[in-house]
Amino acid sequence: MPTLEIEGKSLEDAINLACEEYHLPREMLEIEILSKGSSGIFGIVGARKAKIRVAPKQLPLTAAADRGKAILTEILTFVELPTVVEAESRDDHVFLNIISNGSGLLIGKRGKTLNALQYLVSKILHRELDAPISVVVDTEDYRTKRETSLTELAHQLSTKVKRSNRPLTTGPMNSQDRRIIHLALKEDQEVRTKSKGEGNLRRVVIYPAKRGKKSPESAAEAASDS
Amino acid sequence: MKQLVEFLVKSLVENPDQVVLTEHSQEGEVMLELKVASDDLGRVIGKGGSTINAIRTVVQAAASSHNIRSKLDVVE
Repeated sequence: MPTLEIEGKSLEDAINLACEEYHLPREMLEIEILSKGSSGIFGIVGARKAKIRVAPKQLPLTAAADRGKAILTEILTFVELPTVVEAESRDDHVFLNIISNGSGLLIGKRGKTLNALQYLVSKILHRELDAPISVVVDTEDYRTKRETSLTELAHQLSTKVKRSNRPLTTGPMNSQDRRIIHLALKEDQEVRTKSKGEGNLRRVVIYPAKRGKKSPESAAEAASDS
Repeated sequence: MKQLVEFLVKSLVENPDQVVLTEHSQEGEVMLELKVASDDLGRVIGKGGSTINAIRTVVQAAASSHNIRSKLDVVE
């Protein structure tokens, strides 16, 4: 975005004009003071206008989204598929969506390929920008669908646990998937969830809740698995 | 495939000029051998092999879009 030089009667005045010009709050502007201005003697003699140089600050997330898009696009040039990458900076992460022909090649078995792409793009981005920005790579709405089916699985398992009063364990899952399970059962007072195991074999165990005891653990687990 | 691995690895290491890749192509198969500076070995492999496995997965997907199989090894 362009840099502008703006004059005002006072510094305050110049900054307000700049905010209006860009339709941005003051915190979002990079302001360099060129001249403070003075009102002169009696406000007549020797009055100088205040002058500032202003440029809008680029949000780090917006910059990261652009860069993430470029990295992912570069990787995808080696895949023989028509692909377009859309980038969006959301509240706390960068969301990259691949539009393709729906062959599922980029998803892989249980999202293996999609997760590998996400892992590599975020790793490269961390290195380049030296900031831990989380990146989500999606295609064909896979992430939403996965969340729906995992939530459903969580509810089925919890029904079984309540019926049998015995703990049950899910298959091995990555942290994102475990998080979905924890969150799905967070509100359920009759069961509690906990992650168990090491590395790639980490899974979620669903326990029947001890009677008369509420578990704040599940919420903490979900946070640590994010 | 070689360029893809080169791009990924060079974006991850401290010494991109010391990345050496050799490619052997056979009927429907491409074999890649990767050499990096010894300091960068950990960066390329990652915790429990997570990084190298992610690279393999992406390379396999790219290769299979060309109907070929791929193999990637790190050599010291």
